[in-house]
Amino acid sequence: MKNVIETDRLTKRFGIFTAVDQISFEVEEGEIFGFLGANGAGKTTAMRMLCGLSVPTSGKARVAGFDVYKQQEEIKKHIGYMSQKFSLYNDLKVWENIRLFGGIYGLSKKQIAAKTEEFLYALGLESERDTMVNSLPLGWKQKLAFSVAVIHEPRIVFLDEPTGGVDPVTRRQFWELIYQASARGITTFVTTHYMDEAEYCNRVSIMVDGRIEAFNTPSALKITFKANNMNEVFHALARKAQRIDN
Amino acid sequence: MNGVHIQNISKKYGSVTALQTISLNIGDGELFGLIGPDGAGKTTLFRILTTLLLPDSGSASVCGLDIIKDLKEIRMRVGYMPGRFSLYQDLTVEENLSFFASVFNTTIADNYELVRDIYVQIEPFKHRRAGKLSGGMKQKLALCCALIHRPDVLFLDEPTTGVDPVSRVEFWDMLDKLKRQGITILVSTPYMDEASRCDRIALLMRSGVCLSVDTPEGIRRSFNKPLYAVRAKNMYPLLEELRNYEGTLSCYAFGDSHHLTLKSYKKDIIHLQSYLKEKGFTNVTIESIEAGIEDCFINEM
Repeated sequence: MKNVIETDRLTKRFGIFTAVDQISFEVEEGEIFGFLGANGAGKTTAMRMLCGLSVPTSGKARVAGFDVYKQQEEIKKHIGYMSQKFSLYNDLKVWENIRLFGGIYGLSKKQIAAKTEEFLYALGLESERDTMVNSLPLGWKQKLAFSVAVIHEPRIVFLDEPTGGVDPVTRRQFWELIYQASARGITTFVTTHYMDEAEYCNRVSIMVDGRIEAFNTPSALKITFKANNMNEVFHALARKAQRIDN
Repeated sequence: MNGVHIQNISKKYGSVTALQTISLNIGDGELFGLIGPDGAGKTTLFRILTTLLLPDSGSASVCGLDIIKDLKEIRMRVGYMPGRFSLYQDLTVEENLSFFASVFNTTIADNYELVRDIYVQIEPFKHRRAGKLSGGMKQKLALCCALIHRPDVLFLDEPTTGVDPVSRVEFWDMLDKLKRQGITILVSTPYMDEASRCDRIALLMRSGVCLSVDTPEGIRRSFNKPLYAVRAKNMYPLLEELRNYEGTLSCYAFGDSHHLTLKSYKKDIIHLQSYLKEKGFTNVTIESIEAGIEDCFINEM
């Protein structure tokens, strides 16, 4: 298996505060990788460095084969990104959002037209083509945002709490989209606060106070921590945190 | 005090129905949960009960006060934490809290006892601007601001969305404490483990229909089919195969197992065992389990 993400003692400091503290890990191609941690553990800061949005203080990292210091623009072309907070333009219609992101990622008009039909059909949004994204229920928005984040078939898609606030049924539909992308070879790097979703990942890491304190398959972690489920694993680790959520 | 009473409340936005003749009775000191998918009208109901929105029809009272006639008095008696962070981002933690205290003609010192447990956790950052706080801290500040005038009823709209599992447990421990002090709490949540911590829950469906109101235990008991947890080595192919299986009524992923209901019971389990073996699955286990709130929620959808 090839690694699509490799980090070596990757670190980010803000003044005297070390947000991300020498993290080293690899993510394999096609893997669904769960990046877990409490609020303030440093997940978002780490993710921003991997997406080429923030320059590390020290350490090394390569994403999709590109260096996070020197090839940030190349990284951006080869990844997709969606977050719970912002991913689509609320005041554009469904089809306009698809066209906009398709255009940004350099798809041809023909490709965009084909993708538009594909998404609307797959998500059951045919009758919502002209609906403002603003008025879609959150779960639909998130499914559309995911589809748009992989419109250019990136090597890796980064998902920052994609299912926050989404109801139990829609959360499961969302994970089906992840599985389908994974089957096409797209690597998924996902953060979540739902510990049942941690079980769906091939491997997970758990960050505590800026460091990666655990890294393995969910089943191996449950054995290591003598836990019945990932929720217990998470509690065992996160309760040790010293740093107050910043 | 006299709890929260809702009678046949309906609300439409243009042609979209948000609430359809909802009736609920919430007792004094009750911790009451609202669960339902996005678009089930939970936020609309909160806004009506906090006098921020008028219903199209129906009536409601909070602390024995009418939501239309007595709106000014209700506003003094309730605390509201909206789903979206609504504090002043460019005021510090301390400034936000003293602002909300002064709006209600009180001071932080007067009601410090009530918010102390929560406020001590954010006090080290009292000079930081609210906009610079992380998610978990914002939640705690918002709760303090909703409590600082010692309300009788607290309305919390998805207070723990985006909050990590450890902080969520701490947040609900705080709600238990507030409940013990006699505060009535109405809370919505997308987390079904939290729904289990309520005294009673109402299950709302899309377009604002109330499906059931019961204790968590009562809702679990109403699940009237045998339920099985199925595991095997390759979990996603297993999910697809279980859905293809002709005897399957429903099958959903539930963390480390798939929860399955069958069209007919006893006979099919043995048949299913051999079917999965035939399809090449290894380490197959099928275990009879009790339904949780999440199973009930999915079942009702």
